[in-house]
Amino acid sequence: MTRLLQLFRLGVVRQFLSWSGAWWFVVALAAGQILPPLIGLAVWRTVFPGSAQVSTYYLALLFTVATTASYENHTFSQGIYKGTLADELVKPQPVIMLPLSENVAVRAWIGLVAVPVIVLVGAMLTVPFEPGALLVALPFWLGAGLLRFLFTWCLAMTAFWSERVHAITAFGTTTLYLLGGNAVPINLLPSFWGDLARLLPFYSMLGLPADAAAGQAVQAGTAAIVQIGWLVLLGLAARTLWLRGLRRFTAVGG
Amino acid sequence: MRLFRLLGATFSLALRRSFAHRVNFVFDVAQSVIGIVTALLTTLAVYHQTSSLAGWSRAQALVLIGIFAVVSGVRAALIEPSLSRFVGTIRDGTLDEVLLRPAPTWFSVTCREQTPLALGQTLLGLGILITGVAGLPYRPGPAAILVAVVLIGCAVALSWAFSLVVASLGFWAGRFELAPLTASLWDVGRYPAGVYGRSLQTVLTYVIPLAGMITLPAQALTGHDPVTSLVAGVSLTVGLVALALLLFRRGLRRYTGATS
Repeated sequence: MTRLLQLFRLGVVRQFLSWSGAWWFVVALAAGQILPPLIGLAVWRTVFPGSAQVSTYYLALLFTVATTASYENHTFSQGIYKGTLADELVKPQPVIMLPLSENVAVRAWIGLVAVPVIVLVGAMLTVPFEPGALLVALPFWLGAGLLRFLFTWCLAMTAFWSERVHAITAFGTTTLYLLGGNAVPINLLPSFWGDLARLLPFYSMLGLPADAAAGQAVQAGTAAIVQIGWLVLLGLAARTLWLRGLRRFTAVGG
Repeated sequence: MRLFRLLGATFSLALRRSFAHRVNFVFDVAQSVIGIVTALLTTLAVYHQTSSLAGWSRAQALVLIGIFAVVSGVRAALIEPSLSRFVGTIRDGTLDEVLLRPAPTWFSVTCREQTPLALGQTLLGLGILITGVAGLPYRPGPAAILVAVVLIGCAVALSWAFSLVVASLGFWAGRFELAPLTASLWDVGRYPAGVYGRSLQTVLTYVIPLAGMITLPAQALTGHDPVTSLVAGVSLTVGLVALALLLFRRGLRRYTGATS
């Protein structure tokens, strides 16, 4: 276990340093993550002028979106397409170390770019946060990070079967944008759609930690069961996709 | 005319490539429409809570979303595929191949790759636009329609010029991969410019005209003074297109090629 943790830490450090060479690209990626919530904030503040709830929610959402960003369709899938995944298969460590460590490293970079923007927006809006609410939001945020990684990794692994991994991932990210609470806070959806959205994995990936941090009424027990349920399901899906996909993988020259 | 024939030939080739693989075809069509469907659903969700957004009624907002989709479709089909990868061609020297073609370089650079199926967005947008116009309490006159058509053309040209400006920065800094940023910024046009506050609205209309390029044609159809919109739209377009071409030519002088 200690060996795996050390390998993971080394992987994160290596990827973090490797991505430092593409810092302009990181800035562009960070902007891609934080712009949609900023647009949402502008729209919903126009609908509900002066609403502290809207501002608090979107500020928490900004943080969640930026710190749970996942790009396995750009990183892991390219390894499948180019055949470089073969290098990872012969290393004496679980292959998940590669996408997981790169995911954490990219998130760290995006967080570094996004947090100053979030602080600036927060200072402009003078948004109140309750420490108790932030404490409740913490486990949901950790779950959201893991869930978003598993979701994107599952979509990225469709590269074993299809050449259109970006189109497939675009479906996922667009659905996440719509039903995750980014385009519209789930509390503002018509009640049927709101109830349905809370049961889907997308809310657990974005809106749930943001709602909890904003101090909005969240049924913590039910929300935790839904989030853990989706974590187990997507974990199993990822395992199945990996085992089946690996059988199809022939690598360069295979 | 020769350029239009060239554009038609590359478009036809790209279209035939799109039909080559059935599964890819299905994904490409679906990808082209899902973004617009999402924009539409988001707008409907907003109007579930309010009857007016920054002074725009639901029908007016549909006109705006329709125009956004029309322009987005053209952009995704004809502009983005080539220009979003342009910086990479400067870095790895494959721009050489474009420079040797017997056509203006700015044109060859723009028409390198196309995704014709993205025009599905444009068709969907036309449907939304017609639905929005039908829901307006008045019918726009022929002059307003003409102005809107001209301004939609200006919006496409502005979008091309903006992408070319961003791509041309790669001549000075080859590591500038700003395509994801441009794609995200494009989404500010989904909503009336008025939601962004007065100062940001001015920036997004006249400095980085991402919101203005969609809002202006929509305003022409929704009862605002079409002459003001026309003057603002055409001036912005001429200015940004000239700037883009100037920047591109200056940048091209710095390009040293793969073998030099």
